[in-house]
Amino acid sequence: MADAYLDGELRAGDHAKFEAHAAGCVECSAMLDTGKALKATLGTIPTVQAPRSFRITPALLQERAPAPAAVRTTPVLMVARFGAAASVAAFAVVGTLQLSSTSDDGYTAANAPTYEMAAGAAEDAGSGKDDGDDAGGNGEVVPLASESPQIAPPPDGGVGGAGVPEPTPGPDEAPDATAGDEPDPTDGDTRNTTERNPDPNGYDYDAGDTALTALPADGDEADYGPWLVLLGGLSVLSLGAVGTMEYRRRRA
Amino acid sequence: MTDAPEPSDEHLVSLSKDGSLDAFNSLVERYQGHVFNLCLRLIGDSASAEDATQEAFLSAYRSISKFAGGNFRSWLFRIAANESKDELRRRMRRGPHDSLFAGDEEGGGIDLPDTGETSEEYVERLAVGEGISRALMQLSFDQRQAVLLSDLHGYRYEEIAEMTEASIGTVKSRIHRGREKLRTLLSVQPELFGMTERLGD
Repeated sequence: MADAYLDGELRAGDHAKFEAHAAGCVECSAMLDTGKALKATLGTIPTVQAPRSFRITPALLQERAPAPAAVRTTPVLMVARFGAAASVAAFAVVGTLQLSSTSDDGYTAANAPTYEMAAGAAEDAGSGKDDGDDAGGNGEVVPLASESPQIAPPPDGGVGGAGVPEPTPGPDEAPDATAGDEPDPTDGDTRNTTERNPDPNGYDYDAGDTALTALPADGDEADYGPWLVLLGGLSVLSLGAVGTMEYRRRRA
Repeated sequence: MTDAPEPSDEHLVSLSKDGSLDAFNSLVERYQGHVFNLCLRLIGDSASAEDATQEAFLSAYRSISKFAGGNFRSWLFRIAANESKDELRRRMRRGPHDSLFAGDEEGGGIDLPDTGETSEEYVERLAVGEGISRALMQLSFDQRQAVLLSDLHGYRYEEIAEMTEASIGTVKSRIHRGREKLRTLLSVQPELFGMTERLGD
């Protein structure tokens, strides 16, 4: 009340009423005295001259241009950013899975010429034209074919984990290898079996054989194609949306 | 022969809105002393007050189109108070190495009254100013702003409420609490009140 009285903020009636009360009240009277003294003291705070001119110049306007970082990030933009990042990440994960799956298939396909070469070499051997020195003229498989004769085949005919067949079967094995050229769905397995196991009905497969026979099962792996397309589209859309929002935000 | 009347704030604001930098600079020259003093008392340091003053005028120029009319000085003071608050925050982040109570001499000198002040009175007034500035800096920013706008710049509660975007009740409370604290702080420096009494005589 005393402050409002001193500041002239009381209505006329209230002002007179408080004045009358303060005249008979020691406490209020003392409060008014110190209030007046303080108000007067504050009013005497020295006024300081402006130390320089604060005129605005074009150079100053250019120098103190507002930083773009001051632009606010809206919650919608934050959600859009998160969505874009999540879809791109999901796209990357699914893409990696798809690539790894494709790479397995590719490996099998890459082995196919080797089988052909091996079969061809076996045929050559069977016909007595070549004893394994000529690998059939297939440039891609020459190193494999040319090195093979130097590697002694395991006694059980195992071909290692990769399941690569022996390209240069001995003359004794030639008939079996030739038989492997027939359009039999079990072409590779039969040939490998006959190459490594003298017993045509034997199932003395090592780990490599098992892996080789398991190769056709690769085709049963999940196909990530649709997911890849979906997530790719989602990524493009979300990135486009974020880009548009950022552009509009910075222009605002 | 009399000088041509000064153009009104409204006229200069209107020209500024039309893109006249000269018109706006006329407003700058008219109010730069008021704005600088407000910033100086709110911040307590001359160099920082200069920065805040310059930023306030820059900000006012950039947003002059948003000025919807009314008291231009009040609008400018609101911007200056906000800039001062930001400047204090920046100072807090930089650390307390800057003096909050830089002498007024840094600011370009005290305005001597035309009534003719003796050198003793001048020195005494400097001491009073510094003592009060120190006490003011003990208040919260909002209390200091409310007390200064009321007691130094003569604004009414309603105007202060509008400038600080607070209710009148809040303004009353800030002024009351601020003065209470000042009374306590200045009571240990009776020389300040002593000078006031003499000035009041």
